Amino acid sequence: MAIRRSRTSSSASAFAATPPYALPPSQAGFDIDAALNRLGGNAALLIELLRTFAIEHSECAADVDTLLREGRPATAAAALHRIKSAARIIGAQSLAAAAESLERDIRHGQPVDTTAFASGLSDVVEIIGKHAGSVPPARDADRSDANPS
Amino acid sequence: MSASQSRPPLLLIADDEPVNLKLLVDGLRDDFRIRIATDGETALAIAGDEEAPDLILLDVMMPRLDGYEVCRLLKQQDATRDIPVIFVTGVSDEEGETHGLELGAVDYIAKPINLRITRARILTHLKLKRAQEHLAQLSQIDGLTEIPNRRRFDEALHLEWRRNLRMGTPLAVLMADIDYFKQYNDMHGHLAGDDCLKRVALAFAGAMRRPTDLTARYGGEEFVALLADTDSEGAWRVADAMRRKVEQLMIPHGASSHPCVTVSCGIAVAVPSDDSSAEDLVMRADRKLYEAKAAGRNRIAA
Repeated sequence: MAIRRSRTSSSASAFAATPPYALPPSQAGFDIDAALNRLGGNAALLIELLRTFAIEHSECAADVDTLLREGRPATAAAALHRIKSAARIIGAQSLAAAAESLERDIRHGQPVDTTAFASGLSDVVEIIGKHAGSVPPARDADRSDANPS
Repeated sequence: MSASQSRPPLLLIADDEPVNLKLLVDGLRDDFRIRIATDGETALAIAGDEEAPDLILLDVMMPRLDGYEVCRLLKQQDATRDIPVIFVTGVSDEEGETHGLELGAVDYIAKPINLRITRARILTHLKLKRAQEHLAQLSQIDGLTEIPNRRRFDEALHLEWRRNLRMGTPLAVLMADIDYFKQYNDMHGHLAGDDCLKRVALAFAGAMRRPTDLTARYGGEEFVALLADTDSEGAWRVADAMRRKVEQLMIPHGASSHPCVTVSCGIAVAVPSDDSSAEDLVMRADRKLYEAKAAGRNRIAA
C-alpha cells in the first residue's frame, strides 16, 4: 500500500485559519495553552497547525496497522515518530506519549497493541474538527521547495 | 556573504513532518527568506545552490538520508562547511545531542520548539556567522592599503601552485618594491609615506587584468603579485603595467634619483613540479627584484 506522507501543500499558507474557527480548550492530555505559549500566543498559527495535524495524521493508526501487517515495522515506527513530534507541537501530550510508547515497542520488537493510540488519535482529531473547523480536502503539490527564495 | 546584505537571511528548513514544517515556515517567514526540503538529498542540493542558505534548520529523522548524515556531508564540502546547522529534533537524548554537535552543528533544539526562542537562537547564530566572516575578511586584508595581505598571498600561492602543478601550466610571481622608500619617509614624513603606500597599492591592483590575478602587500614597502597560468611574456607585461602605473601617479620624491616615486620589480616564472616549491619561486622573484634595484631601479628584472 502507499502510505500517505503528505496531504497538503507545504506552501506556507495552503489554507489560512479564519473565524469562526477557534482553539479547543485545554483538557487532560491536550494542553492547548502550553502549545499557544510556545507559539508566542499566535492563535491563528496554532489553529492552522491543528488543522494540518488532522489532515496529515488522522489515518495514522490505520496506516500503522497496515504497515505492521505487511511486515514493515521500521516504516511504522517512522510514522509514529513523526506523529509524536507533531502531537507535541499542538499540545496533544497523551497522544504523543502513546505514539512514543508504540514506536519504542516496535523498534524493540515487542508485541504491539495500537488500540490506545488509535483511540487517542481519534479523540484528538474529533476535538480539532469540533473547534478548529472541518479540514479542507487534500491537495497535491510539490513539497520540495514550496517557498522559494 | 552568501546572501545580499539588503535581503533577509536565507534559511533552509529540512524536515519531513508537515506540522513541524508549517510551524517553522509560518513562524519564521516574517524575518527570513525560507527554502524547504523534506528529505536529506534535497537539503544537500539546496545547500549547494549558488545562493547558499545562511543557516540550516535540520531534522534528525528523515527518510533515506538522516539529518546526521546530511550534516556530516555538509561539513565535508568547502562550499557548505561554514553554513551553521541547527538540529531541530524530537530525538532529544544526550547521546544524539552530543553526536549532532560533534558533527559540527552549532546548536540543538528539542521539539516541541518555542518559536521565540528558536528565532532568537537563529539570529544569534547568524550574528556569529557574520562576525566570523568579517574577521576572516579582515585577517586577509592589509589594514593600511586595504589590498590582500601576505597571509592571503601565501594561501593563494600554495593553492595556485597545486592547481598549476595539476594543469602543467606556468605560475608567475612578481615582487615589487618602492624605490628609496626609507628616504621618502625621512623627507616627507610617515603620514605621506602611508599615503604613498596606499596609492601604490591601488595602482598595482589596477594593473591586475584577470579576476584570478592577485596583488598583495608583502610587508613594508614590498608588494607581490601572483599570476596563474602566465608565462614570462605575460608576467613582464603585468610587471611593466605595475611599474608604469606608479610612475604615472607622479608622486613627488625629493630624495630619489627620479623626481617621482618609482618601483622596481623582479619576476620569476615556473611550471610547478614535484622537484621545486612555491617558496623557491618567491625567493627567485626576490633575487630578481634585487637585480633590478642594483641595475638602477625603476625597472624590471626577469
